[in-house]
Amino acid sequence: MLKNKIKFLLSIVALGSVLLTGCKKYLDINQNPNLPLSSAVGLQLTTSELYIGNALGDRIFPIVNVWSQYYTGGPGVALGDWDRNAMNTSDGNSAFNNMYRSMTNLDYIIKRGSATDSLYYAMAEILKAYNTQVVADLFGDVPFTEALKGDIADGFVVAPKYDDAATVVYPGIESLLVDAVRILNEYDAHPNGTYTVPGEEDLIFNGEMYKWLQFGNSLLLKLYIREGSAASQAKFAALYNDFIEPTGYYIGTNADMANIPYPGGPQGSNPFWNSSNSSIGNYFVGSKTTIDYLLGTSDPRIDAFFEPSGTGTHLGLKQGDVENWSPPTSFSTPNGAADNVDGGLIFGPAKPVILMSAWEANLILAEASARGWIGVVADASTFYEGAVNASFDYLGVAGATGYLTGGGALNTTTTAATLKSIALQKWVSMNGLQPVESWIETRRVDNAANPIFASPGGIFVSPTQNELSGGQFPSILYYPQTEQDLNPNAPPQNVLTGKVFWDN
Amino acid sequence: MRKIAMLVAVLFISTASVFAQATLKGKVTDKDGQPVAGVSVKVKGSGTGTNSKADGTFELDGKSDAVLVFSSAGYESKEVKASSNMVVWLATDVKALNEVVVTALQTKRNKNDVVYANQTVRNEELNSVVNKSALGALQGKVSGVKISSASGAVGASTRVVLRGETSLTQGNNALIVVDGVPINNSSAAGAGGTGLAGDRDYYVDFGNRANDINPDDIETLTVLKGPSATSLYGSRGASGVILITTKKGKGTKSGKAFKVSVGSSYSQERVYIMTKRQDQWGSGYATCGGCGGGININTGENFSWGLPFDGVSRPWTAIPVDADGHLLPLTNGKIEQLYRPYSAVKDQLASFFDYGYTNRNTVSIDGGSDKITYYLSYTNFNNGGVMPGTKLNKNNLLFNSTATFSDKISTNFSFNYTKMTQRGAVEGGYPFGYASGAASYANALQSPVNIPFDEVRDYNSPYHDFNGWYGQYSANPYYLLDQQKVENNIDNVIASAAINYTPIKSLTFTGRVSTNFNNSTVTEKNPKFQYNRAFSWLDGVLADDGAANSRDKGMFNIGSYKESASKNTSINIDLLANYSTKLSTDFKFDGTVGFNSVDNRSRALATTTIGGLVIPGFYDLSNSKENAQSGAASSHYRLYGVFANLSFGYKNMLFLDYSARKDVSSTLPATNRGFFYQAGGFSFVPTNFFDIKNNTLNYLKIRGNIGTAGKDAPLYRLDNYFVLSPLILDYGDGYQITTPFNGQPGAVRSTRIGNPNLKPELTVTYEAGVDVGLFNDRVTLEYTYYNSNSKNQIVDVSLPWSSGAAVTALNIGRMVNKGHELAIKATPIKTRNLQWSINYTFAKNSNKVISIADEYGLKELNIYQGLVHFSGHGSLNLVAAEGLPFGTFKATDYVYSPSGELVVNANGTPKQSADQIYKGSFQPKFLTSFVSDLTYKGFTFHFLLDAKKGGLFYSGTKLSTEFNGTASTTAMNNRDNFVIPNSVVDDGSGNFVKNNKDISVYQYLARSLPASAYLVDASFLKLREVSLNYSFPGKMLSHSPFASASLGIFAKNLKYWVAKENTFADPEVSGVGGATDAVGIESSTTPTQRSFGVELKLTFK
Repeated sequence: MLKNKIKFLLSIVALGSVLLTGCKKYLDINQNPNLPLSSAVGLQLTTSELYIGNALGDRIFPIVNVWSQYYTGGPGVALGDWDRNAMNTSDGNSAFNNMYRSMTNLDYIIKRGSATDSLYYAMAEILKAYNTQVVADLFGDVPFTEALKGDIADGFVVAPKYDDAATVVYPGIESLLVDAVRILNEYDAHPNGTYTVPGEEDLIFNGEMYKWLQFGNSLLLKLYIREGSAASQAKFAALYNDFIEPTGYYIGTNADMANIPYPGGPQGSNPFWNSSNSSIGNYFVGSKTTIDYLLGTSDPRIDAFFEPSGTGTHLGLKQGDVENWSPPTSFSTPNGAADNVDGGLIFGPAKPVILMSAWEANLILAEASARGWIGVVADASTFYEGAVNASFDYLGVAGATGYLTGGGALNTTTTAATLKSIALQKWVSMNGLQPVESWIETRRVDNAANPIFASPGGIFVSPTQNELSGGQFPSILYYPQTEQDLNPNAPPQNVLTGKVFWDN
Repeated sequence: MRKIAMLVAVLFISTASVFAQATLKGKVTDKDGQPVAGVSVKVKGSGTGTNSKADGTFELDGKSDAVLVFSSAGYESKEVKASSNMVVWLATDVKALNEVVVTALQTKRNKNDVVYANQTVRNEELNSVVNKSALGALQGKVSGVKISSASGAVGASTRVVLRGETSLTQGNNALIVVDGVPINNSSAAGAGGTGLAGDRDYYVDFGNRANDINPDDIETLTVLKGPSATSLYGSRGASGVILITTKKGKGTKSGKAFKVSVGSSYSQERVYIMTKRQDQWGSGYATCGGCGGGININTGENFSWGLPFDGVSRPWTAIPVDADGHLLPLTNGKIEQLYRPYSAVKDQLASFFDYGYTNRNTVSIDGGSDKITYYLSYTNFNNGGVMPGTKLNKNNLLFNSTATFSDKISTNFSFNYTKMTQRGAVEGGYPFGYASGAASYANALQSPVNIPFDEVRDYNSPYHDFNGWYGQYSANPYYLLDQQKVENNIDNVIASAAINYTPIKSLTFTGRVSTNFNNSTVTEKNPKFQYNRAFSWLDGVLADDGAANSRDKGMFNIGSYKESASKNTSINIDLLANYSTKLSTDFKFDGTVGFNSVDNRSRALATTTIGGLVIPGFYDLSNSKENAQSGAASSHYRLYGVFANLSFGYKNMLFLDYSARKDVSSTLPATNRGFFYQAGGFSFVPTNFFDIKNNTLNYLKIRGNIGTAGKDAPLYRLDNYFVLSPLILDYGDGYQITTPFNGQPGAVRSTRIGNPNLKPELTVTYEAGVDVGLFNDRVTLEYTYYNSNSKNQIVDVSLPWSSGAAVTALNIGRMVNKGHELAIKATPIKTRNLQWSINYTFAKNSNKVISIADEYGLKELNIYQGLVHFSGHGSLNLVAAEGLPFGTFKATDYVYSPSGELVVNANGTPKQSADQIYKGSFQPKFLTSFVSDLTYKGFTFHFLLDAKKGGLFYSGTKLSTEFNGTASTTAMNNRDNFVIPNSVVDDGSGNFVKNNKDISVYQYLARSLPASAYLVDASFLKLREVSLNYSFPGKMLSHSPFASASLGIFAKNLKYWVAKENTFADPEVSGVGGATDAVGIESSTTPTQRSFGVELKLTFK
């Protein structure tokens, strides 16, 4: 009796199970109706470029502007530790993660783009190289060979290992650039092949491919000179002598600059301006280090970089000396950083984010000349003047000629002096515009033998409230907290006085 | 003991013969003196007996010394020695109500049958004082239930976790089942944020939908914790189930067809401020070690680091200016501003708030016959928040009906409708900026202690508008509270219809269709404004002599309007066959098989203005500067399952129970959609088996069970997607980088890596316990030990962006919860006029994450990524890390030298570790509660104490008030500089030498403490409920239209006791993220309240 009843009940269960497995279609509803499963490479190019703008502008710019001693914190508000030569472990999150977020889309173009997409492919390689170099130069060893391989199809590498910056990452960047330049040269020679030519989805150059070629070449120059080895010197010389010198294909003028343009307005404002305006721009003032240097060299660009103090003259606050600020004294402030709507000459809603400027590329060539890598030493002056003129033009400031014969004249007495002039000019002309690149460069060029910035005898001063020992300056960023938390293969946290391999 | 009883019995027998036969007369009443009819009255030891009549009287023959036994359903039996014209009162049998347990399948079962731990709370216990929500009312009444509220704002979310957290990332809220309908208990937030993205993320908590249920409509609330209890609810029941049974019509066999009751309550609420503020220093910089470089008093500052108070009258507002920014001179040519003595404002924070109120009115009709019963109730609930302008209005309609058509067919119908409108307060910890969402309370907390809030309420006054507002970094919070309107309108329906068919006795088929659907319409209005900054007074001198250019860095907001609508629909179909029979005189069998299908859909549409508003003050999508933008999201989920439950009983003393279920879910990969789980258990009642029942030990039950609970994946975890027109970066205030960018469309890879290889997850739990009844159930005790092991969990793992994505779902992790639960009820005093009953619970859970994912090298998961909103303090995360409890805080910490001294930087401030260190968890050591009810005649005095010991919380209030100098802790060392005791400094060569560099209190507290310094002991003891209630005796009502009447006064949250180091916030407020697992992140949300109220209940004759 009981047995039968149980059998009866169990058979109902069994029947139910059979019915369930029969209703497969009924359950085939697990595809997100709001997201597509495929996309087009051009759409991802646009967003990749925008992520680079975030990376350079969102949260990193106050740190590098302060550590370049352009700005320092004003009174009343705790800006953070940067003007005490310290940082939070999460301060680097935005720069790092936005760069990789950009690269995951670039990498998709490189990996999955079709044969006719080779121009997109080359652009993606150039931008990936640019991004990788920025993160390596800021953080040191970074994920490269195993990076961006999280997809099941790519091996599901969810904890990419960190590669040695000198021996793996830099050569990797070089291969990307060399390959991109090769493709673009082919296109340049045979523009009528089967190419899909990008248009306005390329925010940087509007699909003008010769400008991408110039950008790729200029990035190779930057890579080689930063690497600074004998091998890279030879490659630099070869690239310059064989190709750039005859064709002029490098970022030589302001018209060729690699910029991400911003139209302004609530939906498209420059991220430097946006992030300074949304929180901290109000509280920065000009650093005495920079203001005194500009005043000392009678640099007319001072009025472009800074708005004068309340008295109408320029005055800088000693680095990190907010606690000794005594009103009613007021100080010069970054031009436009805290202007609600219109912005100013440096910070403005419709200003571009500069990836590579004409003054930067020219100063790289000037340095290579001064070092004797290319041409004769006299060439350094030409490139130097080209850089200064480009900077003055860009800022709309007159008086370059006078400056070049006055406070801004290239000191050619010794190689060291020439290199120092070039480094200082690069530092000055990147003020507020390319703070990431500037801070990277201030770490590279000076050393005990030729102190320029942070080395004893350089122009940088230790802040009053210093969390490092006197004479020490931050020379690498903390790895982002997100990597420390989420990537078990992340190396131990950096110390702020650590060095990237090219730092001497 | 037994021997004495025997002796007494012998004495009785031996003396019996001297008494004569007589007619015994008397009357039976209830404790209020009302006659009770139909009571069986028997002479003990003989067959003689009778029933009491309608007026309660009885008459029977027996010896004049006879012992009479009175018994009646619903009353406790009583033995009384006969006397002349005896009046016997009978106590209501509470036990009888507890004998029946509502089980997972909504069937009622005898207490003996039930093999798993469960606790039932009846209406009267739940509503011992008037509560705003059913879940809130449950606090302190059931052992092993963790209930926390996100904030004290109107309609804030409530999180309910049974036993401990078992799921790493899928949420741990218990499933709420209302009359058999599993409801959608999701919580929602408005104003753009969720609260989860750090304390700069402004949000309005719209609550979770379980809070829509009217607590007074609840007949019983049963908490089912073990998987045996919950495995029949499928994957959704894996975190335990709370079964809510609403009131049903009782019907009457004779007399009137229905009974009408009304209830009304009103209570007034006042914020319970736990934050202790210093009262010695006001606005400015004099005591912050030179942070403001020479200014001592600055009226524009949020810093309370100024000069010590001296009571001298000084200006504290800015100077009014006209529309052109010109100083507003008085007729005598002098410039006017407000003065007040430079001193602390008493009860400053409390004065920022309004008094709140809660008003609830209910009318209900209970009626029917033996064929049809119905229960209809309507409740109007109004809650005015303490945060000015916030309010919640709720109307509940409940209709329950049963109809019996024949012996074979009956139906049940239930309909519960809630209509709610809510205007919430913006929550969030960041007080700066003029953003539409700036959180008002954070702003108040960050005001110097000399700012009188009760004077700034009129934001149109020239002294307190944008031109006059004292603070440089924020707008008048009353302006934002009034002008920014975030409102939610919700319609929530829970309904079910069931038909029962009983073709033969003992076999019943039930078919039930139930639905829960809710619609929500949210409107968000953010004002558009642009003003220049007000002037401030620096040491009594007008800043920059009132020069116009010192005002140019002002405040602005482009304004916005957003409208969103969402709809969630859930349809459940249940088919059940139940066979229940006696196999023999000793054996009983009960079997149920069933089918269940779930179909959930959601659809949401939101449209928002872009680029700001064109015309200020007008809120419509047509007022958008650029084309308004819309977005839609929808989802669809299906699951169906078959299940069986078999139960054998032997002689009402031994029971075996087995249940099994197979589910097939749409969210799992097609090849691996099904999952099977089962549970088995026993209960054994030795007191019945061995017949050892006696007056000391009258009941003993031993129970044990083991079971699994399965869980499917969340929606859409299997594929790789792209996102079209993504938002690239949001700066707030309406500023963002988005696509289409300058007309150019864009797409990105989704942040998620799809995992097509997911498998369902399983939790295995076993539990064992005893239920004991002592002294005829005057003392009952329930004890349970449990151990649950959750493994192979489907976890959304955060990935480093270097992997190319931010998240993927993996089957990983193992977490163990084990613990003890104890509930004791006792009635130490029980006489006709005086009764005292107490209820004590204790629960201790220990949670440990055993592993995360060794195969991927993962040792840790982030539950909440902290964001410490002023930099300088490092960072803090809430994590699940291997070997530690779920919800461990990980923060930058102090650094110690090898010999144990505190290491400081060269400038004398504490050095912070570069890495985050594990610093304890939010898990409490134990939870305990105590309820006392003392009844004397019609009066009942009730109180409830509830305590949590141990656990930590992160206090955003500590951070922001120690930063701005208002916290009582900033009075340390009288604000004189000091050298950190026992501290050492690296001499540059790696050697530690004694530190002798002194630092200011400001440098120490505001600028240099590591994030771990903001973790505070979360222990508390709360006097949560106190009430005094009077039930009018029947006699008094006999000439009134009322059958019963009661009047009560009550208080909630009368007193909190917290850890000594906690001078900052209510440790129970979980803060961010509504009802999520980000517990213990206090971000200065609206404080909880103390309330006093009165309640009247009437039932008409």
